Amino acid sequence: MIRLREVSWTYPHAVRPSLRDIDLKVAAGQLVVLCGASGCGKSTLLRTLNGLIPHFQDEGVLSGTVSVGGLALQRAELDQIGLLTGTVLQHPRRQFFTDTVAEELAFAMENFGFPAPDIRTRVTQLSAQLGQGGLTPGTSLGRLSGGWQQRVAIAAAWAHRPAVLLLDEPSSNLSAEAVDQLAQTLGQLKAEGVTIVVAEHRLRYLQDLADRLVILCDGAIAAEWSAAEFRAASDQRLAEQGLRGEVCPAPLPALPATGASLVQPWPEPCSADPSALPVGPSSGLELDQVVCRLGGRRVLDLAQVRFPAGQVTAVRGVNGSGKSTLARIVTGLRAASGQVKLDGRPLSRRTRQRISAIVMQDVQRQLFTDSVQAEIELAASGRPDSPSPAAVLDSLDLTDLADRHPLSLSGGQQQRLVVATVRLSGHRVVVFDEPSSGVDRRHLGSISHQIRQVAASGAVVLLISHDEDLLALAGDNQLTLRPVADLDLG
Amino acid sequence: MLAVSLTVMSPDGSRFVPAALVLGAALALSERAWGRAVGLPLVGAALAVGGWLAPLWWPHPLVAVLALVCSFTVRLVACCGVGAHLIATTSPTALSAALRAMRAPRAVAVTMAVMLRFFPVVAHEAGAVLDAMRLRGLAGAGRLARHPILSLERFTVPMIAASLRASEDLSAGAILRGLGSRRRPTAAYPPRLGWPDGAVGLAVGGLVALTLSVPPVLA
Amino acid sequence: MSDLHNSDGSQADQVIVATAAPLADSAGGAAPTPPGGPGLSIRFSARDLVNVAIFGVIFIVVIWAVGMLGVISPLVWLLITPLQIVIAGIPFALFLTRVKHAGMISLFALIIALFFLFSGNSPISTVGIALLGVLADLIFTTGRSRSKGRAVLAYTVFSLGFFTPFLPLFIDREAYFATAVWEPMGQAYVEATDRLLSLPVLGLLALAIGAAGLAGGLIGSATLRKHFVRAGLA
Repeated sequence: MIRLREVSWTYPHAVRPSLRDIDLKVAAGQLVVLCGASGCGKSTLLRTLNGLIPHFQDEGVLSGTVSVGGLALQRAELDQIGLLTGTVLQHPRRQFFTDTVAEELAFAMENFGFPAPDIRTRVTQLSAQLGQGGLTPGTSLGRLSGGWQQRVAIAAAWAHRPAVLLLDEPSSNLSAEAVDQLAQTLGQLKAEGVTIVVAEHRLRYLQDLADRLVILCDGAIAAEWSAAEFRAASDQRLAEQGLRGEVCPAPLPALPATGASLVQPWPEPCSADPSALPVGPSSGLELDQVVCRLGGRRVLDLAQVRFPAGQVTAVRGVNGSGKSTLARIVTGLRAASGQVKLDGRPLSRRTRQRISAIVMQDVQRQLFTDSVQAEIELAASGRPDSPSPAAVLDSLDLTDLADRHPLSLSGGQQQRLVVATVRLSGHRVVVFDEPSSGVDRRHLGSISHQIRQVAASGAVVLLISHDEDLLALAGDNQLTLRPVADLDLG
Repeated sequence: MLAVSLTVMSPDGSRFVPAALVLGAALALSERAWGRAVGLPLVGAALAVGGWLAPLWWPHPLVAVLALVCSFTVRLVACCGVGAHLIATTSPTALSAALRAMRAPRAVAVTMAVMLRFFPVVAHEAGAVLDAMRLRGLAGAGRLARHPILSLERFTVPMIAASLRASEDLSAGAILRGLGSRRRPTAAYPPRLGWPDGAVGLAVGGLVALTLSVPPVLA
Repeated sequence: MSDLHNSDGSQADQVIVATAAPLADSAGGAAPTPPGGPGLSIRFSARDLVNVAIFGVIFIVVIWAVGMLGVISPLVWLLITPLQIVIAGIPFALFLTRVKHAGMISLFALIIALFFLFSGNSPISTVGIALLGVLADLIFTTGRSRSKGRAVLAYTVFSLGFFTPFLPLFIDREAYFATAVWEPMGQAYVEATDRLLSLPVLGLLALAIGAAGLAGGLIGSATLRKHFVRAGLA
């Protein structure tokens, strides 16, 4: 079904090829897992299978041949390839094109010109399958939880019955139950005879589904395991290849707090004792009767909580539980009723804006100048007491990049630069929003080190993340939120 | 609904402004957008005061120019009210199906549908960049007045970079699912005028008749 | 273009080195030359349409965001239109780097014009913006090479579209002065106002907008060099 011969690919401006001499054959109806450490080229390989490489890339060099179902992809047009392959990219929410479940399911079939009655039948059939969990065709896509978004994205990619289904890290950002559900969905598809290729770094859930495991290293195929070998491999053996088996939630003590936004009952009730906190009663950032409404709906309701200074508080919760709303209130970007106090003193919104910082998920949004040096100087200007720019650059390993354009840096480097600006401006409250998404996993240690450094300087640090590995490394305690007004599908 | 929205989009002559404002507010009510339902008539009234009453208080050529601008803006506001309804309630699928039904060329229909999808994305990125600027203290009015171009460059460049990145997955996913394909697309639910359109049509007809029958006091 | 059935095994076995056409290339690149001659094809690929759409949205959001500044600071209010033109030059310059063949700028202008029509612009202005877009398209895509000068000139021409919304203000004037509000104010006063909005003022405004367009084109190309080329986005 899929055949690759001596495929190599070099991204524009890249020095080394991202894929080197890949030979791969996938028979019809098989499920093959592409795995390897982050940056090994598994997502890139997936993009050659759906033609995004080279057809969606402006430059870059591809050699070798890729054919899917007998179609030579380099010669084909993207819509031809799309008819043959269904793709689910990493963030389902970012690829939804329409507003409701039914429209999304019909989208590909409409574009490919399927007859309208056929589309309606197929949409009804697919929504009936999805609908066993209470989903209706008219449900708005924005109101779905991560797991449901993933299921709708898979159904939408598969609606026009392509022979091949490609999935890029489908389990990232999913809860444990949602991952089980995902395995079930893939099992059903496999039973229907679909050829499936999954790029993934979290492997155990695929154990009973995979026919083969292809391990990539540095853009080349390092090893291929049969299903039996894969099942026999211990987690330790996986770790040697930079792979992960199971992911367990990081055990962190819960912060004492009250409010309708909190997950009840406490995961660890014993730690809900205020005296367990190592800091004094008034140090830190305190939220008092904070309620935030959006269009008449309560999105956040925290009666009482204190984030201790000098510590990292992990903020967890499903989509729509108010994590980013909490970040925006704490930093003064959004108004809410109730009080926010620092060290016992109430703060106005404007003051909060002045003393706080966010390291955003997409750090490009907060890089304003044309060189790393200029970015640092802009952050340091007007604050005589801040640490020396050169020292901060040095400690973050950015000195060699001082003349580069911030937008030309890699994701991890951009993030370090933003952390540098935060440290230079000496903010008292710092929020990290999903800092490990889009960053090479090998740098997890360095990210958590950055976060700990900011906390060590005495700041109140909030870490919003789904990444249990990062939370285990960087978190001191946790606050788990849940949606106040129940969503359609929690 | 859509067809009606499209036809009333560019009312000519200020005599239709009150009618368009009423329509905009009513449509906002129908989708429970309270802010817009209240705000639209208020802004309209304020601009009407600026446009027609201000010259009475202080007759001066400059004020008259200002009044002219106001009376011009009031039309714009009236249209925006109806346009906002279109953006808020129409999905990209519905829009492109409607445009195709109106026999708009493929390039226009596809581009418009994609734009409708990108608007919230780019607006969200723009908002996030503004947030980041506020937290870095780069968004103050004083700074803006001193270095207007530099400040705006610092907004525009990250906004474009972030928008392009955010749009990448979206367009890749959509193109692979045949968006913009040269095949002839179909619509699962071909757009038809239903009874709500009839009701709106009647109401608009009523408003137009009312406008024409009332002697032009303001207009 | 090609269809599903002409792909057989022999084609799959050929080793192809596919390089997407660099931006500076004229239309076609490695692809078979479309009918209508090079550079004049208006067969947009899905990618082209999406690019036009995303830059159209960015362009409109930039204009809208600058317009919002007028609310924050009254100082800027008088400078709004020229400032909008100057800043919108930045996304336009980046858009030009994605223009692969003739027709894309025209489509861009048409889309912008339609958008402003929906948000309450006059039909005259809509036609005006679209025509200026076609003109800018001709300026930018007819030459053999895509020089910086052509890019700046194309934007200057396109930016005159910002002048078209003022047209009804002058054309509609008779009707405006005939309204009841003006009656008690006397003939002399009406004439004074009339003169303020006369033809020379109109010309001056057009000139100012053209100058802002030139500045926008230059700033756009400077920003391209300063940021986007170095960031690998252009």
